[in-house]
Amino acid sequence: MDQSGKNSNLIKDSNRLADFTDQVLNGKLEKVESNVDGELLGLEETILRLKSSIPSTPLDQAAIKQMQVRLKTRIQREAREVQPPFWKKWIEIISRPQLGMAFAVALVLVVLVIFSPSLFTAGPAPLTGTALAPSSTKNILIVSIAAGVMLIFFWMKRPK
Amino acid sequence: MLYSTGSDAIFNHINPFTPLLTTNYMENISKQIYQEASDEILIQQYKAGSQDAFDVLYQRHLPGVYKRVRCVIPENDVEDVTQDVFIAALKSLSSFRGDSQFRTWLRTLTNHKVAEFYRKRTRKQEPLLAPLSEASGRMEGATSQVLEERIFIQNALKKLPENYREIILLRFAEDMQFNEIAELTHQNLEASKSLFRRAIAALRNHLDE
Repeated sequence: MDQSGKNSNLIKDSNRLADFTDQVLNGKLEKVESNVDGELLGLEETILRLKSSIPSTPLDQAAIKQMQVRLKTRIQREAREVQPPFWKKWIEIISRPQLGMAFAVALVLVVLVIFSPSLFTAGPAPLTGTALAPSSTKNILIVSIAAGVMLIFFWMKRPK
Repeated sequence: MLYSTGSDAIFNHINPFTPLLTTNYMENISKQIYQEASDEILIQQYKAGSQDAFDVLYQRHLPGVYKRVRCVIPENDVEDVTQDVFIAALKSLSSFRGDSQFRTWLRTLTNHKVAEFYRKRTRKQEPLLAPLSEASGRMEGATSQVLEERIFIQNALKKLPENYREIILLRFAEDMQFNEIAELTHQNLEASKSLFRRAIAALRNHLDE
C-alpha cells in the first residue's frame, strides 16, 4: 500500500472512531461494531472501557450547594489561619489616634537625641561657633523635618 | 479579595428608598439576573465587589471542573482539588483580563492544580493509589471492579502526553463535540479526529502494558 492509500485509511479510521465515540457517549452503542477488525477494534474497546470507567452521573443542584457551603467554610477557615504580615499589624497599631500620636512623639524625640546631643547636654556647656553655622543649620533642619513628618501624619489622620 | 462583602453595582441605579424592595427581594432579583448573565459580565460584577456573581460562576462551572478532576484524580481527593481550583480562581480573578474565555482559563487552572496535586504526592512519597476501601466509602454503588478499572485508567491517562490527555478529557469529561474541540484547539476537524485516534491508541498501549 502506498503512502497516500495509508493516509486515506488512517483518515477513514479516525472518522469511524470519532463516530463510534459519539454514538457511545450518546448511549446509542454499548459494544464494538461487528464489521471492524484489527487496530480499530482495539481502539473501540478502549473507548468502551473509558466510557464505563469515567463517572457519568452529573452533580445535582443539592450536591452543588453542599460543595459550595464546604468551599466557603474552607475559605473562611483558611482566612482565619493566615496570620497578617508584620507590616500590616504595625500599620494597624499606629493608625489608632493615641498610639499614632505617641509613636510620632517618640520618633521625634529619638531623632532629636541622635542628631542633636547638644540640646540634651546637662549643665552649662560652652557654646562655640558662629550663629547659623552648619551644625546649627543642621539641627534646625532636623527639627523642621520632624515637625513636618508630624504635620503630614496628622493631616493624613484628620477626620474626613 | 476573597468573598468580600459589598453592594452589587448592578443595582446602584435602583432607588434605595423604594419600600417594596426589601433586601431579600433584591438579593433574589440579583441572583436571577446573574443566572442569565454571561461569564464576562459576572466577572465584572465580581471585580466590582459582588459575591453573588462569583457564586453563580461557581455553580455554572463546578460540574465541568468536578468531572474533569474526577477523571484524573483519586476519588478521595476530588473535592479537595476542585476546591483548590476555585480558591485559586478567586485569588486571581481580579487579574483576569479576559484574553481567553473564562472556561478555557478555568481549564488551564484545573490542569495546574491536578499537576500540583501529583507533584505534592510525589514529594511526600505517598502512594498514588488510594486504598480501594477508602475510595469505595465515598462512592456508593460503585463496585470494586469499577473502581479498580477507574484507577487503572487514571494512571494510564496520567502517562499520556498532554495533548493526548487533553483531547480525551475534552471529549469524555467535558462532552465537547469534535467540531468544538477543533475550534478550541485551532485545528481542522480532520486533524482533531486524527489526534483523538492517536491519543486513544497511546492510551490503549499504556493499558496493555
